[in-house]
Amino acid sequence: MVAWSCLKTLFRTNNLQKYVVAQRGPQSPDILGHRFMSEHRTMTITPSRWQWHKFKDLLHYYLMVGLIPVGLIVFYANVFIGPAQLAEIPEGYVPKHWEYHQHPITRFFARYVTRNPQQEYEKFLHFVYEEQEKKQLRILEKEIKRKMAERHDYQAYYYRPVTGKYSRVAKESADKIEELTGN
Amino acid sequence: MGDNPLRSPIDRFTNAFVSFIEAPVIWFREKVVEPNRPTTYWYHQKFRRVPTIDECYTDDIVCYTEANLQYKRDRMVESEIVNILRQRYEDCILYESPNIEKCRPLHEQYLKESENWFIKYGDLGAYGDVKAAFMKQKHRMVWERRHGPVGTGMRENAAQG
Repeated sequence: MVAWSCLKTLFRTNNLQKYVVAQRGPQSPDILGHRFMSEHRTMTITPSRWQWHKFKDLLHYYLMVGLIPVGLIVFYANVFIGPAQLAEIPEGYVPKHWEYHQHPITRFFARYVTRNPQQEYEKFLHFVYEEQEKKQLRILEKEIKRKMAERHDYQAYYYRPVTGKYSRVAKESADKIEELTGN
Repeated sequence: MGDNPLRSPIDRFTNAFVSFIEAPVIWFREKVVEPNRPTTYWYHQKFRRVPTIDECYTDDIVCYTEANLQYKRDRMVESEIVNILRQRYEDCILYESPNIEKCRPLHEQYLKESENWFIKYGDLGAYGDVKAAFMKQKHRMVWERRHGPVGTGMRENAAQG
């Protein structure tokens, strides 16, 4: 915004004046990167250590939040729970859908995170059935319209499907209002 | 590879070196890991057989979808079977070369099975579904009715059928 920076010229004062009196000696203030801005404090001018700080930041983030917790979880799952053993399905027993996986973490995800494949299969079949019904209705409707257009022998072209229910309700409320307020 | 006494000193040295590294791991597993684990089981899923496409009505989309998914599963299984037969033949060649006459029955079995796979699933394209496979079977049967078994050539005047 160029406009705002124009205002800087209005407020610029000669701030360096007050430091002229306190200047030490004839040398310029830039010796050893020190500026004499007050009696005690100094500001050392150093190259930026931002990249190093950012690196440490990211390293700690990925280590503490990523590697160590995930490493602990994986260690616990592999050492103290361990993979399941393959077995024949017992007579008359229907295994749960997570019991078809071997590793404990996969089993955890199958049990609590992802969906039951049998359920999704049945939902899919139902969805396909519904879509087939709709498809058949649309085909039938198209065929009827085609025949009506071909033969011009059916009054349905002029028929708009409406229900009288809402007009009756509107009429009743209009009558009531007329009764209360007068015509 | 068996419990033969190790003959050469190099073998004994490498064995000692390797077991020096492996021993703590083996100890950890046998003493710490295995007693603390619960025994859980997992199973191979057995899919029920559903009606195949030739038992479905033409407008029964649910029957068609189930038959299609069953067809895809059967296709995966049979592809794996052909894979296993090919691997067996190739392992036999690797192991028995240069005298590969022993591998002849495996070779013939693999050729026959891959031919059968191709008859059933081949040349249907990327989107080949169960209807395409069914129609392929129907075309083959009609062709065989008109011209005789596949492989005996087309007849001039095909038997009308």
